[in-house]
Amino acid sequence: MVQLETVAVWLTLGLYALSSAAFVVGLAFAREWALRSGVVAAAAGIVSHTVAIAVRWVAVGHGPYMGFFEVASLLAWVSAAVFLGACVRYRGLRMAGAFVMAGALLVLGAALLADRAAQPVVGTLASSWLVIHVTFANLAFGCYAGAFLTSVAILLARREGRPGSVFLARLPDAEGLDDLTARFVSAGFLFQAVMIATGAVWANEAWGRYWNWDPIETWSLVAWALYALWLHARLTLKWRGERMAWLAILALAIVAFSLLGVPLVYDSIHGAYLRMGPGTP
Amino acid sequence: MSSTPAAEWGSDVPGRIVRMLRSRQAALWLLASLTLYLVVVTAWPHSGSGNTADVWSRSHPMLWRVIDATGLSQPYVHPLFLASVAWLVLATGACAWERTRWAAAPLARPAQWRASLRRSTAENPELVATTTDVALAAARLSSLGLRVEVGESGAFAASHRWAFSASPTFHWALAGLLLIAALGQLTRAEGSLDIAQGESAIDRRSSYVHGLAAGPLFAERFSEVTIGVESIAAQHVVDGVDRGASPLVTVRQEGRALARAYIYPNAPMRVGGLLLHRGAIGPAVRMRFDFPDRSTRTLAVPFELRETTSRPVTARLDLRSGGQAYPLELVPASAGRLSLRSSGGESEPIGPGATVQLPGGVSATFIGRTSYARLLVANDPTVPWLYGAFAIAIVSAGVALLIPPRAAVVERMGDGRLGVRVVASTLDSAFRARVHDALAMRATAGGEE
Repeated sequence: MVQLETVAVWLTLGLYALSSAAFVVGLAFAREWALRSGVVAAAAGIVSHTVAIAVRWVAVGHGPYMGFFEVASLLAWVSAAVFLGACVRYRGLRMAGAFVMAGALLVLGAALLADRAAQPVVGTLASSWLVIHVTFANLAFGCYAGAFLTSVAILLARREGRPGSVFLARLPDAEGLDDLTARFVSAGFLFQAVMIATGAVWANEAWGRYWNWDPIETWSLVAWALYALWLHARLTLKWRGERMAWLAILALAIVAFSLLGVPLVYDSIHGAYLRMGPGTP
Repeated sequence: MSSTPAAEWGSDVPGRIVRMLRSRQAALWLLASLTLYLVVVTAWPHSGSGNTADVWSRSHPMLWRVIDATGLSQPYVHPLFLASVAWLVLATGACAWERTRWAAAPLARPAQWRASLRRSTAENPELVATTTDVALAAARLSSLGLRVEVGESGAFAASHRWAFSASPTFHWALAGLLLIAALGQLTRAEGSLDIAQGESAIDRRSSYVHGLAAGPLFAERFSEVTIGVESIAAQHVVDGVDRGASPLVTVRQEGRALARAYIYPNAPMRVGGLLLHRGAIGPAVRMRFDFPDRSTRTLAVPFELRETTSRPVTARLDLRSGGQAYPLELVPASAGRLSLRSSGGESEPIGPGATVQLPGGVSATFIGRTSYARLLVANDPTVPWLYGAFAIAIVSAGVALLIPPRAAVVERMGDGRLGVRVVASTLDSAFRARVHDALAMRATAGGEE
């Protein structure tokens, strides 16, 4: 089982790398065949990634939410899956693959640097709230990744004559892309609200305090507040276009940092469960 | 005579404050500022985070001096932060009120609202439909998935009333959530009780020997219940998972048992407003003290028998008998023994079963070893209200974002043409465009243009 998982993970890494390279070529040189190859490689990578996650799930007896390797691997899968789903619906979004698949590649690569030993679900983690909290975290991330995707498309589409412009016709129009971004942000905002609320309930059950201003709690709130700012700017100030796209891109970077970077940088009670080495308290 | 700007400002202070609270730009700046503040203050550990803050302050002495002097060593109780949050609560409340007023018409007076909308559509439409056939226009609206009511002079399609109430509800719930959280911090108390196996403690201030963190409005609301540790299981398996060493805790009031259960991670005990968690399990010693007035007291004391070379960890006891105070300290000695330190000096070390005479006619017997459980006790009556506000905020935000309020009205104008008006949220700009496109469509062959 371990060998099968290892092979599947490394195959995934290779396919994501191939997909990223193909999208870069397709975007830079306006090659349709390269974009098609990128989509095929991404799809194949998602299949092998799914196999890797499933095999590990069966072997360790719990879902992919313990330790940095599992968390980062799942986030990479969610990013790639959202991208592929969006491409099926809107072929023009393929040109953003150079950014999304490269991001998925980097995250999976970082995951492979971490300790991959199975970590048991013990102590304060032995709770149903873990599954609910992590599920909504991933749903939120997936939606925000979708908003990132459409925001990148907005920025590329506005640069006439630059890479990607030849694919403009296949994109929804500017207002449509804007609307799509708003839908992704709205859904992600709600999912993240549930993630924060369930995290608070669980913290109260586990530690007797629903909010500790732990760094990961604070950064999650920062990310949520940024998306609240995005929605507020759109709804009440009627902001549109590039600045909203840049804000959505910045906000995803904050989300990614809160999920993956904070545990590595800060001394946090959440971080203990996500450190790159062994040593879960 | 014209008034000065200062006089003009001063003449409408409440109005200006309300306008500032309702200002969209101000809200944007407030959200951005609070977000930036939260990012910046995570750059250093905060006072009360124990060793981490001490280490950081020693390695960044100049920076820590500045941070401490500005009060940012405790950023979440800093006046700047508290004032910003207070402004956020007021601004959210002002926004909620504004949205409530907007939603009041469709919610409270739907018939008048519809009539008003139809009147304004007939008099001042935003678009004129290409058809003059009401039934055809209604069919076009229906094709957009709207529930349409057709009358003689026009057609009316609108979201369910819930959709109109969602945004105000979300904003009220958000303001309520922040207020409840603030109230919780003011009324909350938490502390830890070290209770040895077979012993109990009463929920009152004197029992919290490690200190009690209580908000200014806690008002000594101790429950006075008796919290006892019947036993401590070395292993406690639930649903096939070993939950570790777990105390069996009983809570009593006036002799009546209120609750009895094992406490382990993610399985706290709730008794009234108290929430009891398992903190730590550790060693203790059972001692008996015989006093000159022939009274005896047996108690278990959390105490580590292992001696450390430079700083042995002692346990302090403040005993009283016959109006006399007997302050003592247990000191670990070698080979699993302990000695007792009093005003008269330190006794010889004694092992289990041994007795030693102390100054003042007191004798102390070291009965044997036992264990203790540290229970973390939190008293926060606002938590259920907070959960309720959470739930309402999330559900209403979901409805507001995913089922936005909409209305599309087609009404016959004076000249016989059909006027169109659309009511839609700015998050739903595509809806307006779809209605316009649908009613600008020409009929198929056989229909009227």
